[in-house]
Amino acid sequence: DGFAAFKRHLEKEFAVENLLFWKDVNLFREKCDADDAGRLSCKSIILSWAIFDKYLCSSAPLEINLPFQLSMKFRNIFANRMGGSPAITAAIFDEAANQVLQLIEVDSLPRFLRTNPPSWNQFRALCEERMVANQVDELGKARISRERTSDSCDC
Amino acid sequence: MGLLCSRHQHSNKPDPENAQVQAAEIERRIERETIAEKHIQKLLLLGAGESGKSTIFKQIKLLFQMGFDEAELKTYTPVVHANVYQTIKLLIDASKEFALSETDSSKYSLSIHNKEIGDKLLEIGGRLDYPCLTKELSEDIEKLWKDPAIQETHARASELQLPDCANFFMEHLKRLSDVNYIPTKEDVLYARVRTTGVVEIQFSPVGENKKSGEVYRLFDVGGQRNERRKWIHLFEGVTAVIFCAAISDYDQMLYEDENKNRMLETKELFEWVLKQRCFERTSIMLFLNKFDIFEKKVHNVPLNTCEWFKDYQPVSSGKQEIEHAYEFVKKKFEELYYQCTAPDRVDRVFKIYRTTALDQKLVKKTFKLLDETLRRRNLVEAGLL
Repeated sequence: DGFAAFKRHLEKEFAVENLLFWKDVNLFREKCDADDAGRLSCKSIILSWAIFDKYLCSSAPLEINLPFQLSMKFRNIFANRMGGSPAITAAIFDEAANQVLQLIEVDSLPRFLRTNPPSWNQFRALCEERMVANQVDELGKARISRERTSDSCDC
Repeated sequence: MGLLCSRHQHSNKPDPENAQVQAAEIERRIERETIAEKHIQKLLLLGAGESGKSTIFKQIKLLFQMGFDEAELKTYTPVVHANVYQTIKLLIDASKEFALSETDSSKYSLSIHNKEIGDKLLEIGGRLDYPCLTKELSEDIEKLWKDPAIQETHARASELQLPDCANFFMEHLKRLSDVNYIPTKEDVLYARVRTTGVVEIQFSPVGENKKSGEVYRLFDVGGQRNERRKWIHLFEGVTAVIFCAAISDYDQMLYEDENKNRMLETKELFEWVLKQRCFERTSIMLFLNKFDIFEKKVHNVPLNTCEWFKDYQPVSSGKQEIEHAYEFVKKKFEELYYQCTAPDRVDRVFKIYRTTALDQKLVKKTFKLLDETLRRRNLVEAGLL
């Protein structure tokens, strides 16, 4: 299917960590559970540490390509391992996942589409991925605008 | 079977037209085979982030491959538009920050009307895609770009992570927002895309009517720190490393670490490359790149701003100063090369080229020279020279 084909392409280009991170963040968001006060369960916090160790800490085995401010944000939040930081929420990795998706969309995806004329299956699978991503993003947007209590602009 | 026989008989007859076709076919096959037999040489483009590796890579596609067809040019439309949005958003954010932190805050405050537009523009692209650049949006962006506060902020661009293409695209907003806009070759060269991973092409730097030259495989890579750990997979059997150093970066900080000066990073990275055991017999081609930005910058920002160039003494103003500064930087890299290259152990070619990756003619000339150097080296190695 499309996702697997794109993943193979990224493996060949040594850029698969981007897709893996994005996928793990989606899984994390799905599995995340919190109590009424919004505090994440221990299991969820452990999961967030795993993502940090794999993709975000300095010398992470699959370190992703992020701007300075963003990676510093994670390194500060996860600096203290005793107990869960209140900054760890279900949406903590969303911005980073978005950035990474944008990166492969602009750099790797056009090459993939050129070398693999997209079959219907691939096309559908990619669309599905995109739809999920968009939905997730809409949710994030809605949350942010609720927090800001300002109207979002439609351009 | 019958068909095969009849064809065979047919081809025995002297048919001039057919013979010609066959001859051409044979010639093509021989050509293909010689190319396949020939040793394909491996070239790596290395260097820190935003040193111009991918721009060189794009130039090679334009110069020695088929270039970009219309479909491929069009894939750059969203990239160019994203560059525009990124630029203006970064400048608006930075002007706000400067207005808060600087004593002369009024210098960085947008006019009330523009402030409103600015807040609207900041909302763009929170979702996955940036919208297409419409006439209305481009007019808004232009208004902000011309706001004195944004210009003041832009004057401090080296403190921000602003792409080099910012100026160019801002000056062409009208054209970029046209409904029928198709990116030009120049737009594609300017477009900033962070490379992630490794990409390769094959090319032969030959003139239009010459038959075949040396065949090269050229690898382009991402330059940020996390990307560099992927490089090692390419280090075996490399004919030449093309190391890009953006010499205009001497007052800028890294994208991935804003506490680290870009030039110092480039220095350390060059050292690391030179000391690789795999490269003891690999030619090192150093591109002192972004000369176009460098020659403008040296007048405004003294070279000795950078720790590595602390001992630089400016001479005069004008053209002389540019040459003086360039020669100084070149000498620094030369010294570094000889420090890191033990003459008794390492046997390789080292060349320095002054480049502006956006300048197609210059890149073409540079690659011809590079090709000559490498071919000469091959002959020497084969004992023919």
